[in-house]
Amino acid sequence: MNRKAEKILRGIPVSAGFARGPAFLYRAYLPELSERVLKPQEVAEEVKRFQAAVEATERDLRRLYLRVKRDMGRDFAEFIGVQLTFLTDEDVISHTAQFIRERLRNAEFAYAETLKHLAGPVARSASPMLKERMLDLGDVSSRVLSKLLGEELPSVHEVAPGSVLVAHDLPPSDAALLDPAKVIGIVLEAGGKTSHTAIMAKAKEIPAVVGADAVTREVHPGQTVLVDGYRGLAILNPTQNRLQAYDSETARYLRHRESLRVLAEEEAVTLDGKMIDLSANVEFLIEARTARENGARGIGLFRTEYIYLARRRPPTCEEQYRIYSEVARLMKPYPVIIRTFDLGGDKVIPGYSEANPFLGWRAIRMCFDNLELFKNQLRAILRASATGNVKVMLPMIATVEELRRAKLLLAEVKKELARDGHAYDEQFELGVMVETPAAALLADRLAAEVQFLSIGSNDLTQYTLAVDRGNERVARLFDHFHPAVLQLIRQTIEAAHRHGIWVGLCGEFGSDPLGMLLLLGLGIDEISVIPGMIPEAKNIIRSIDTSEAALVAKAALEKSTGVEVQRFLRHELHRRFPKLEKSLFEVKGQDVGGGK
Amino acid sequence: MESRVRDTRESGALTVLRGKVKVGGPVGLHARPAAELVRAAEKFRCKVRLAKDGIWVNGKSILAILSLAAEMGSEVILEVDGPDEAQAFEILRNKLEHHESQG
Repeated sequence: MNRKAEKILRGIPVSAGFARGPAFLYRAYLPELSERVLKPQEVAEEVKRFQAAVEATERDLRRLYLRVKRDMGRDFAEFIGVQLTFLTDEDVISHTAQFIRERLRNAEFAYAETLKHLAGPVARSASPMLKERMLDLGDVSSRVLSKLLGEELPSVHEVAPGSVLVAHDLPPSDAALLDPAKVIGIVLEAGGKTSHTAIMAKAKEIPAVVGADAVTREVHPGQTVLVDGYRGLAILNPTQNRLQAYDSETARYLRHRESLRVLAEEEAVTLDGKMIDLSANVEFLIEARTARENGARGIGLFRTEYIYLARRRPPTCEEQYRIYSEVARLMKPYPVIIRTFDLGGDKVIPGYSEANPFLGWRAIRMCFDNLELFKNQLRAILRASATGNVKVMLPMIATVEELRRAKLLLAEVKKELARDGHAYDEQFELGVMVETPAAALLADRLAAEVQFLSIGSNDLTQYTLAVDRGNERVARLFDHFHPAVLQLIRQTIEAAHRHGIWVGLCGEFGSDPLGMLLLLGLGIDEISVIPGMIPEAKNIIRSIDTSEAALVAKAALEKSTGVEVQRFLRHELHRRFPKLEKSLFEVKGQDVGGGK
Repeated sequence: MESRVRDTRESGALTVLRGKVKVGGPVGLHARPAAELVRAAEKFRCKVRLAKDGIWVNGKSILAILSLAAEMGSEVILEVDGPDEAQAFEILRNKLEHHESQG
């Protein structure tokens, strides 16, 4: 095969943008271990060689620990901290040395056998959480073995700045540690659109393509890779012409973005003067900063799952309080809506699995079975309400009982806080996420008992259409514009307004110009989008007249299919709001040849 | 709770310090709390051992501790033996019982 020839691989676009850089090939390290019998006079040297390998690994991990701590904070660094204790495990080190001495075997073999022996009871344990730890041990042993064998170990954390990461798959914990200055693009063979890695890439604004078949076999380390996160392409060895085409496209896009930057200080107000609370969906403090800089007027969805998943154990109340209050202070006086743990579904609890995770033990259901965990979080959120404008949002509500039960728990928590002398905002608002068809259909009853509703359009679409977006065979059936979804959205908005409360939407629907047109027409009060979309969204809001949008929405809801709805909306957007033509930033179809 | 136990296992010291401890924290002795415990134990010169259901393991080995699979609320026996055992016992028992609050 010609190594210089351009090669185009197709995948699924999960994080928009272009990136170009040398490929960094990340492979799981599976060394070949041979067993060698030592001569007695070789033993002392072999033990020393083993100890030196452990020490060298320890130096590497300590450096890594400091770097992660500096870049990502203490919590993320503790991933490495746990690995260090595995590395320096007294039993492992002494047993390995003993194995070398008594059985006269080489260090690699002795080390691997010792680990197998000592880890046996843990690997066989009934606890899935413990089994999960074996991955950490595997990581550590790879490092030591690579030192012993004198082989180079791939690590996502030791990437040269400006690289494109190419891998079969990337565990979310590795994805969380990615530094956008170093990894400027991601191409994976595995993965779906809603995988946590995809979400993480999007949050960090790293252009990413997943599901790119055979990319790890096609690419050579260091080879130039162009990642097209709009069309879902990975282009190996791009030609000069290709690079020029992408360069001019990038320049065009950047100019467009720059022209929107100036909007950061402007209000998100429609042509006819309706103020929209334009806020951001975030998971990390760093994203909240981006949101604020981009002109967000609040956090419409603060995801808390990662606070849990990053630790692989429930975070303490103090730990959560620190995180929540930091975001609350940063965004003050604007609101921060904290969604309680939405674990389960695709945010898998390590080691736990079930047949139908999206229909299973998820979010509020799981919280009710872990009352201490849930109350601890409510406690932390309420305490943070004393430091800023904090609101509580309950995910996956399907019945009114669930809401009432959560309210009783909140009342208990308030009492306990008062007893313990902790301050909280007595006026804090409580809302539910409308993301099950049941909640949308019962929006009237729910609205009567809360201060706001927020439509989670991704899950609402998935549950309404019975389509798992992560399943490639049915993913194309996922359609936000499906008339059934739109009816539920309209019903929810109307119910909220009948009860005099505000209603928002967080989900990809709110980032789509056509979706925004529709939502503004239906009377939405708040829209929450990813931080990078804020300027664009503001531009769209400022260009739309809600009474005209209402006419469009009314007609759109009468259409029979999602395609008809979209075609109609597109037509109306162009006709009524020609200024927005530019905002439908669609990458013009470059001829990429071949393809499906 | 703790008691001095006559023990002829070790040469030198005639007694070790031993006591039952209830494992606290929401998840039991999992990776992070176990790592914290090991780091605390390593600071002492005394030997540290833990037992659950009659199985004794080295308290300075994270793999050994994890192999106990000590869930929240389970009882373990903490044993320390060496010059700084009294102080070690206090600190390690505290870690075992309240590791949640260590953050």
